[in-house]
Amino acid sequence: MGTRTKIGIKYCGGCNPAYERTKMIERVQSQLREQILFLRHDEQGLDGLILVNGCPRSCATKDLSPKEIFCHSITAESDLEALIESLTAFNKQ
Amino acid sequence: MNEVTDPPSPTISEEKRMERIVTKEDYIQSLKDLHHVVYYKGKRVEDVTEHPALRPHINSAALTYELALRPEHEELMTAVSHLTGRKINRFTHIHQSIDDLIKKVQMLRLIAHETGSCFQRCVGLDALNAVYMTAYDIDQKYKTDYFERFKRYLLHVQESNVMVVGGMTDPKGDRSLPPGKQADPDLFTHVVERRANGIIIRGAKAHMTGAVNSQEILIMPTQAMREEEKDYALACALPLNAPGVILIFGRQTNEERKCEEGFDAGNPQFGLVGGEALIIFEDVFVPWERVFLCGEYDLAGLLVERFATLHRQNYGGCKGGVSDVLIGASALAAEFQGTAGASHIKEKLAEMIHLAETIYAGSVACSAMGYKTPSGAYYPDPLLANTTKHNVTRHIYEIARLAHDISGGIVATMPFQGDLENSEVGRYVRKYLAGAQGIPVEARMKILRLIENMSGGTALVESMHGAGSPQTQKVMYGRLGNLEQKKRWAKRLVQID
Repeated sequence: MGTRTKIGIKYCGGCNPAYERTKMIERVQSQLREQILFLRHDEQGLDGLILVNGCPRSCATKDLSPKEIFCHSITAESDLEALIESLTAFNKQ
Repeated sequence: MNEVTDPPSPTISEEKRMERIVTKEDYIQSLKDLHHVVYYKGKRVEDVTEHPALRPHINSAALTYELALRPEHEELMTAVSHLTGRKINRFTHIHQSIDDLIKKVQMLRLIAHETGSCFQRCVGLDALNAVYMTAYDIDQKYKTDYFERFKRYLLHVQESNVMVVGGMTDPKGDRSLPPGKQADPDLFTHVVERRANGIIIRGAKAHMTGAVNSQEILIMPTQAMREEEKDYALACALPLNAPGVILIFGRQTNEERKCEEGFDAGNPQFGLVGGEALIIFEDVFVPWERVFLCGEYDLAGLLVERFATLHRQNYGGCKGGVSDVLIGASALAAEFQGTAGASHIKEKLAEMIHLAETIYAGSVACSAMGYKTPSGAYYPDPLLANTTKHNVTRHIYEIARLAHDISGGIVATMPFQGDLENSEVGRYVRKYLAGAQGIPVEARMKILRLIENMSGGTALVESMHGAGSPQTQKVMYGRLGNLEQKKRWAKRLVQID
């Protein structure tokens, strides 16, 4: 289990999200849990971050301290496929 | 434990001092432990957490704790204390920036999506902020030490995470008479005795949202006061289990439905509005450490205005969120009865969205145009906040009217859940309440009951009078609207003096 890529999940606050953010992340987790360990965004030793925004205002991104790690931001349900592709590609590196 | 969280107080016994409330379960247990004096329908309630009419309001307030622990909401539900640097529940936070003001409004909208009802805790948040900034100003003028006292109280609130009810509205008796001229001087809460270690207060606060399920109250004056009304110029905090405090729960629309099982309550889990109470103070002792305004009458009005503005700021957030739920329910009602495709239904739903977003826009705008007070705390633009609340008194009624229009008369004439489940008439209810093909009758009934719950009676009155009646907002327009400047602009345009 220790060899899996560590990805943190950072949510915006969710004031008026256009889609079910947690459900979308659950779908991602169910597809990639063999390869990726999903953690809170403030855990140590992360390889990357998913920034889960409920809308294009992207508050999860706004409040983020600059980090030199892989980051993928999503703002809509239609971002699901791109996110999975991006995580899969990152995991293969 | 920090020593400043524990000032000596005869009203709080050592062994009953509050542990930090973190979870929903902690919150409910703390209410069980409070043993405060609550009356419901003429009877003393021994345990508010077990009472079916009070439990929905407790569930709703409990979400303010529960959501703060969820990663997907912590950005809005929590903040960093300017006193300690520690992460705290946003409902105990003093706004440190414009961003804080906006996040407060966003937080209210998100919680309303989860409850479809009032979650009550904003009243205390607004009281904390209003007293914080005003205690500073009083000290500047009178060289008192209210601000330091209040910071110690605030630290206690932030560290213990108690729910504080903000207590502003006095019963006021004959509205044509000032506090000191009332036939009964207790119709406005006032100081009846000053002692070396504290004060004795008497009076009442009316319509106090969330009072029966709060641990403490932060009392403020109900209006601006004059010199002869010094004893009524009072701000102080006390636990609701202090001797002499009595809470009488206010009856709501369809109150008895909360005591039934099932969906006829409309919103069985979270109830209707906030659950308001009349709070009596029968010679209650308050130690000086918890007194933040006492006799400085000329600053009472400023405190009232600040609380009102901070509270009026909220309404496009929470009512915007509640309206989102009502709009969704109305859309579902239309789908369930096969009218969703009709152009007039689409137009009405669009209008509801317009109205909801308009009030939300007001709350965001007054936050964005807020500013820093001398205390360092941030404050929303008062004219815009009042305008927002005034729009709420109108738009929520219109949103409810449109919900009724879309739902049809059945929203008010539908049989009981018991009829649906009755072995003899249940099949008729299923047969004649059937709507669009494939939609279970029970689902249709649930949605219609939810609409009924959210669109009438107490829910509407709360939008009208909560945070002040419309006339109070109009009074503020007169003070803040700057009519003279508007006249100058008109004169200049047509070149008259």
